[in-house]
Amino acid sequence: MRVEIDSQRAAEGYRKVTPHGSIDAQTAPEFEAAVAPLMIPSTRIVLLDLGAVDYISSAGLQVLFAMKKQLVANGGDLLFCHLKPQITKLFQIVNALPKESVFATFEEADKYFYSIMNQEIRRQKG
Amino acid sequence: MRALTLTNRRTELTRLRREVDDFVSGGGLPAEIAFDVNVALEEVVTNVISYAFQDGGEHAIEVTLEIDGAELRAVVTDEGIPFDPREAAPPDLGLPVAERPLGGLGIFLARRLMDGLDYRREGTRNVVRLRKDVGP
Repeated sequence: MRVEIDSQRAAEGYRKVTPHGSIDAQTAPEFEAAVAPLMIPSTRIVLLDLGAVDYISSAGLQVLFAMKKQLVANGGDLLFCHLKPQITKLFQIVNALPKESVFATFEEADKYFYSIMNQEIRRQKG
Repeated sequence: MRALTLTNRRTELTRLRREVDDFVSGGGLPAEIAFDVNVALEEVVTNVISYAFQDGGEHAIEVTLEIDGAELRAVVTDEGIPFDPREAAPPDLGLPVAERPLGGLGIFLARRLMDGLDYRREGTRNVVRLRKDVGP
């Protein structure tokens, strides 16, 4: 499967990932391998653009949940944008779609990322 | 009615999905139905591939699809060890995702996406019957 990874804001710990096609029991290991290099302590936020994903099953959800665990442990989060209705439904069934992590556009997600970064800078300055 | 025989390999899931898409659209049903049936069937078939056969050999998994009035029915049959998917423990969805144990979502999803999931051991075969209301 094709997975685009945007490195533009890597230095800030923010990565954008765009998988294409299906994340199913067959392709989930490929997707996991593609994102593995990003899953390091310096990565805080991954914005997952699911606009080009038309199918996902529990195998795909597990990979996303493992990413989320890792990112939350890093003090960050996994954000989503461009979710299709059927994908949204799956997330809702497994009660895994917190409103604060879903965005309609890149711009909204970017704004959220910078707002939490600013909060953190203020906190560090005390 | 459509019948297909898969082997116990994950690469077969692509073919299964193509067949389901074709069958559902050929039956005049919307793509949302195909999505739900695809996920449910993938979960059931993946379970069979993962757990039913322990000899490492190649085995057949039969899948049939049928639309009968307002109901779509799918049947998955294998000759593996007895396995009742209804006994899979439900996942704990009360915890935040980051604190949940991973796994256990597949059969839960299948049951939620369909309107019925039944299992019977028939002789040497596992038979899982799925049904979904597709009426107007």
